[in-house]
Amino acid sequence: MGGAVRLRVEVEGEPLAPGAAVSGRVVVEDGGRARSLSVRLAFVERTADFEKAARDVDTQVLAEGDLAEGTVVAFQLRLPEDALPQVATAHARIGWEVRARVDRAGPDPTVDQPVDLLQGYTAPDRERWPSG
Amino acid sequence: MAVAREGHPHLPPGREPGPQSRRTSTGRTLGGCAAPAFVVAGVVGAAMVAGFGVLLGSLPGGPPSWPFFIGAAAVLAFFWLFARTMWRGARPRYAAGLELQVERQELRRGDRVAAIASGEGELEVGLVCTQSFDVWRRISDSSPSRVTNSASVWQQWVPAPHAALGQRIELALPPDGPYSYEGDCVSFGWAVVVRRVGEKRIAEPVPLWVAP
Repeated sequence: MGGAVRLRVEVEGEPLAPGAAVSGRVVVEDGGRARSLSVRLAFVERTADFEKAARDVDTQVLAEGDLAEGTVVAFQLRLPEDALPQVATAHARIGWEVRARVDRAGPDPTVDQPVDLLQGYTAPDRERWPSG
Repeated sequence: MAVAREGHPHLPPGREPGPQSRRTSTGRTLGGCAAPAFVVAGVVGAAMVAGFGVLLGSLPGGPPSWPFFIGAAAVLAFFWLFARTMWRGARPRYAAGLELQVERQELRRGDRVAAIASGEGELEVGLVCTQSFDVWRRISDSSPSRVTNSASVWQQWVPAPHAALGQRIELALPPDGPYSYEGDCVSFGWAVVVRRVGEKRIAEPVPLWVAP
């Protein structure tokens, strides 16, 4: 129960429109001790070396207490009406992401899942990242 | 009338630079200011080396002065090249004899951009999106420094066969392409540019602000 917690985030219904609900679930792949599990929806700038949440719109606490392996917790967040679509190139990405975070003693495990909006741009020579 | 915001040539007037652009602009300004100081340092260093050579050469049985003069020239060349690199980093060089006018600088994705290019020779007008992205530059393990790199994300070039007459050319912004963005570690900027066919150097770009 004291080992590393590992999460997976799944988002439904992409690509989404501005103002739409971001629905999905957090799957606990490896359980462990935890104080809480939360999700955050933010517009994030990312390069290979840097990341910055430029706009943080919604955070929800999904569960409190230890997390058992196989637990699935649903969430629903909402994009703002003026949400910008993602732009992804070989060197950088700007776009919306759901971050799931486990609050626990020591480093907090997190996992980021990009959320694609309608009319986003992905350069043809790039792989989608972060891989989540 | 100015086509770009002062200190931020990638932005039209009235558009605010983001944190990354402000950092880059400060770096360019400091680099440009440091260049004359490096020239002075080179001259002083070279004079000291040459003077030392003359002094030693004047002593009875002293060494010849010419190796010191070569050393002085090397010092001068080193500092001159360093200063030149810093100066050029602060002031990019543009192709001469070309002019470019753009009807509107505030657009949306999917809009058409009308430009008038003029100048001698065969010209082509380009619509270019450039991204700036921050990375760590590691010279050694102990001293990484944050730098802003840039790369072209999207470009379209069209020939301007009668550019000397100043004809109007239309370019189309991609409806689902990148948009202008000023961020902390990532930015995207659009510009209309003109160059002579076969040459890399462009005239001073006209920045656009492209809304999503």
